[in-house]
Amino acid sequence: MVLAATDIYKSYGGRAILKGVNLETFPGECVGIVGSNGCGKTTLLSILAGAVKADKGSVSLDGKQAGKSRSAYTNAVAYVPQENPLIEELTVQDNLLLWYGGNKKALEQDLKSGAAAFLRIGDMIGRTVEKLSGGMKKRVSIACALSNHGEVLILDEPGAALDMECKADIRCYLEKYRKAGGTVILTSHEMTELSVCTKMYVLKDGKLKLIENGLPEEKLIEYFR
Amino acid sequence: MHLVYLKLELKRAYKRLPHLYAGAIMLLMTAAVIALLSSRLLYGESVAGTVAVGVSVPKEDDLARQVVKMISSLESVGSVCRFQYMDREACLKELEEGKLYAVLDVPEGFVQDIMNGTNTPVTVWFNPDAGIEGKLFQELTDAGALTLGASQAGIYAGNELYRICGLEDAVGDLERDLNQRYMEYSLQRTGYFRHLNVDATGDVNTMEFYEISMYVLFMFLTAIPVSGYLMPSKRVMGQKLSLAGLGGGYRAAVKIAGMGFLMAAATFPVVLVAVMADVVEMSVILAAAWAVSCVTASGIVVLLFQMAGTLLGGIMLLFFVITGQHFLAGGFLPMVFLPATVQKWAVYLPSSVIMDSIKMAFIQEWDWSRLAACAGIGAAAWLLSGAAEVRRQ
Repeated sequence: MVLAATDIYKSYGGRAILKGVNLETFPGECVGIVGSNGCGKTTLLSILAGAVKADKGSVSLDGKQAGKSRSAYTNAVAYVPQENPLIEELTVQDNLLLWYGGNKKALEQDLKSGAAAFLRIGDMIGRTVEKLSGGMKKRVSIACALSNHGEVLILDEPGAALDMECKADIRCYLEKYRKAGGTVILTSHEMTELSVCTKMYVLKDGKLKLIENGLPEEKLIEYFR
Repeated sequence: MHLVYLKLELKRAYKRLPHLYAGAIMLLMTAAVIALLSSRLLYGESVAGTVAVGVSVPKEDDLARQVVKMISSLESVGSVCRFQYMDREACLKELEEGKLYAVLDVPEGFVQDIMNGTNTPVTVWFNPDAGIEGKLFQELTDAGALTLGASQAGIYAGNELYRICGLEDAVGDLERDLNQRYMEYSLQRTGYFRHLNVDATGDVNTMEFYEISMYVLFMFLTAIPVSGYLMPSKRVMGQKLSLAGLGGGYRAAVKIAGMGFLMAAATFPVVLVAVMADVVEMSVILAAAWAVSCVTASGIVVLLFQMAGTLLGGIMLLFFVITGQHFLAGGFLPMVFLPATVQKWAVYLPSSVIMDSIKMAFIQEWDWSRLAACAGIGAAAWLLSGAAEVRRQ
């Protein structure tokens, strides 16, 4: 599926965050977006996920406008925000069931052979979310987002505050997802996390700029300045 | 997905039940301590009830003693005063010590003097520090003296007229007949006056009014121990749920349903005890008033937490807004005692409207306007909560 963002503008309180962003992603791609803090990465991902409306511009999936076929769009796009969208007092199973629409069979299937199995969710299925570590919560968040078996996965700083093992697990999963034909769009400040990307963009002054992939950190920082 | 979300929110609410009951017990204990301290502050160590009055009657004057006993046996006097017979010195000593609110010093030959027209007055001593009870007795004796004076004037006038006309032998019959007729007419005359009971508490009695008021306040404040449940969901959670088709209005409605369930769980034992103690009758009206009041109160509480946005802010806002509006709505002091401007607007306050709908259960009469007003406030709170949820997102 081709996800395209055309001429996206967004302002908050009179401050322009995005000033004409254009982006096109294709199946099998992993797109990394970098930029300094507060440059608008989260806003851009929220717009791509359909969670926030752009002031101007459009987002489309295979040529269909996101706003016009909302349910088809949200069924195809899996969004993992920076903050975990989980109900802390409930168990992992309860949280997953919410996003699986109460379909226990589908959840069991994914726990056996789907994304939930790869993310090793089965080990913590009965545990209360508030008692899980940050890494575990992130894995559950990804599993929740992928309950729709979306073909586009959008992640906002997936490795933030996670230990090395968790980061490696998530990287490994993203690689697998991409190779299976899915599209990954992620933001990060960490080079190891960005190593899975096949395309790199820098967001600066409200605009996206395609840069060379696999640049060392020192070179990448120069684009921020 | 809508039903799954509702089910999970109710499960979240269910998990808060232990906090709710622990908090409710603490709340009841605090209320009991405040009530006890308040009653002690108002009445000190004394027993609130009848006015203690000392009566000093000369030892040999059995007739006077009988008359005083007859007066004290009258229901109108007995319900207000408690007569204690002792000698004059003991009476004045107890009055000085504050044990008595007033003393009646009946003179020697009191009854005979009335009969022969001399009218030696009864001396009444008051304790200036006796407060409202002393003043009450003073008003009572003044009213009694006026009534007695009016009836005596009629009898004396008749006696004098008979004597002038040389009918001295018939004076006895005249007095008997006058007494009889006076009683007949004066008793019947009371029927000519329109009896209007002015009650500050509306269509329930004072006790019931305060039971309802405390119940409503308790229901609102049970939200404090479960304030964690009322915290607005994370912004990203709201965004994700919106993407899944669960809008702000639905999420607010589900939160209100969860809080309503908790309020129902907290108030159910109270309602049950009230039914078992015959304070209120078990009926469909009671069930309807109970359910609607729980949902409305829940809507208001959810709205307050949406407005506050933080846990501490929510608790502070809940406490001050609820107790403030409960006072203005006449929950602590019946509304008639509040300024006219406050009375005009206070009827629209949530506590006032909820209390009115609960009164239905006490008077056992459907009042659809009260029920609709209560549900209307709940609906308004839901709409505002939904708007706040969307705005916050």
